[in-house]
Amino acid sequence: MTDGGFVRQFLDGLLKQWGVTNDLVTVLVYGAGMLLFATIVLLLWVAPLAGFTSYFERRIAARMQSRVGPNRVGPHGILQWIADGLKCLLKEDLIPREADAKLFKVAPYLVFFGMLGTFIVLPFSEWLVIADLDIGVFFLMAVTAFVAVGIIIAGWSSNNKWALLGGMRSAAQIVSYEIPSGLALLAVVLTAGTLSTQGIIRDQGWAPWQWNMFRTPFLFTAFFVYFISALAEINRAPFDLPEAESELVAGYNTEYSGMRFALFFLAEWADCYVISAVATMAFLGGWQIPPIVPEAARPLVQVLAFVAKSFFLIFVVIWVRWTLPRIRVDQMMELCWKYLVPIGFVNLLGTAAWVAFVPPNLGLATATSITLCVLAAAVVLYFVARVRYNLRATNAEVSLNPFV
Amino acid sequence: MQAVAEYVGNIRRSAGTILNGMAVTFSYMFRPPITTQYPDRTPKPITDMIPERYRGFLWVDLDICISCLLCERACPIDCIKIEDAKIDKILVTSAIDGKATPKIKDPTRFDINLYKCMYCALCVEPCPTGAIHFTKEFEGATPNLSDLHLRLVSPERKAKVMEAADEAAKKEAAKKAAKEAAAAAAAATAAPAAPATAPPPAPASDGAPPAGE
Repeated sequence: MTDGGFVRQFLDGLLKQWGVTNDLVTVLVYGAGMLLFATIVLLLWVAPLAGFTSYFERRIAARMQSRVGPNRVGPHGILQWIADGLKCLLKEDLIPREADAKLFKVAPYLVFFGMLGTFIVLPFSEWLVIADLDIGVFFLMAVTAFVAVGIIIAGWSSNNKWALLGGMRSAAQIVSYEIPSGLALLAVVLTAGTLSTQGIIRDQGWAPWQWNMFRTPFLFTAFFVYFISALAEINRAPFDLPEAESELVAGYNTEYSGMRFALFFLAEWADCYVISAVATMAFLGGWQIPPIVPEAARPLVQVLAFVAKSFFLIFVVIWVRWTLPRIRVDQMMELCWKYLVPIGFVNLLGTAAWVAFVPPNLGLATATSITLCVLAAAVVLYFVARVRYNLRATNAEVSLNPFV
Repeated sequence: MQAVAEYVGNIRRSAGTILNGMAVTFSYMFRPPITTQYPDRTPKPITDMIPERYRGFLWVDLDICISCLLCERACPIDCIKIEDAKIDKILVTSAIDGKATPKIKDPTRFDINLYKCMYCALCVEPCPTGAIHFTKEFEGATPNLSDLHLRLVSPERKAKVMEAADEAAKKEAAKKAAKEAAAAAAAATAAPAAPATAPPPAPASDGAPPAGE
């Protein structure tokens, strides 16, 4: 596959067919094509994805609290997100009199663009990516910063103390946690030798011991550093300080209503997918599948593998949210600057040393991968034992039916 | 050195406690929810699920109500209103102990203001036949407050009771008249001079219960 990805190839083919050589027309066609594809992606993937994630989260949260969750709209409530979206569309778009109306109106779009931009470089399969940019990971980090700007603007323009506090907290949090997450992704970039998202995935294999996560001990820790700081970056619990309900009403989106409010939440849930997909791409082998899969089925299986891994991570994000209590502002800063940033730097140096001194064909690399895999399996086994213990110790009635 | 040990210990402890905490929440994924999906997805009808002695709406079994007015007097907020008519004495079975209880009055009006009722059970306790009792019904949401004003005696039932009361009164009057006649006859045969001191005959009854009853 040539660089530029599916859309670029398609547009190039179109231009060649039309025999266009004019620069201006080329740029216009590229622009129109990108807009068209962005719309398609938005309609067919991002909005349903965010909606489904909201349903997924509410059901899982309910089960973890011995509740049922939304189960009325559609079979097992699966269409709940459509009802919620429609409700938000029909509600009044209220702008407070004292608010800075222009900024207030534009803020949700910035947050939304920060989320949507990442989908440009997020691959789904070997063939399915909007644009395989050479600076993929860098673009990812840069475009995510839009969210911080949007949230600060939302907090400021609301002209409300809770919103402003939420916005300021969010700014502090996102600026701080960009560093460890960037360091963790940089370790991956060092290993793969490329910033391109597709390049990073191609550098890994289908089996767990070929994934970046289990490649070196440094990348193993980098995964956790990335995951924790990504949680903080998208303001998910236990780092949901910017919208801490018990302290700040709803934080930066206190004053929002109707569709603008829905955009914030669409972005939040889509961001869940984004961080999970980035973690899948960088650490969990992305769309890599075993070579025994027949050629014809590969595109579909690759998409399925990628989405399945991402959804597992979304599940973990939700699971963490409903397990851990919110941390304090000082604890949040301490965790970042005292723990994640130093560990991130050690990871980076360690990975650099590993890349420089450990030849990939040597037995040491494979042995390390296998050892890390066994370690992870041991942790999983310990975890299963703990779950069993928890069920036994409380004499719980066990029900394996996921649809109650 | 101690600082390093503390630092590493902090990381280890956070990782361990988070893992354990997540095991607790994950175990709940395998437990059934305890939610009762009231009102439409309950495993059995909701009235079967609420306790035996639940204080729902008041209801009166008019067939065994002897119209003794004890409930009306017991009600601290006067939400019960009873009117009645005298009927022929019948025996009804008490719902409390199954004993036969004489009934000489039947209510022609038995109203309960459920929107005033505070479910204190002070009317239920004195009822000699267990006619007034709590049900397990509790769904009182209605657009009209007057829907909660229970009029337990239907017009048809009232008409029937009035008819029975009329009959009873006629019988009573006939009996009385017969008695009077018998007494008069006896008096006449015993002492022909006595009629001047005898009480005047009772006026023809129109169904109203005699005073002092």
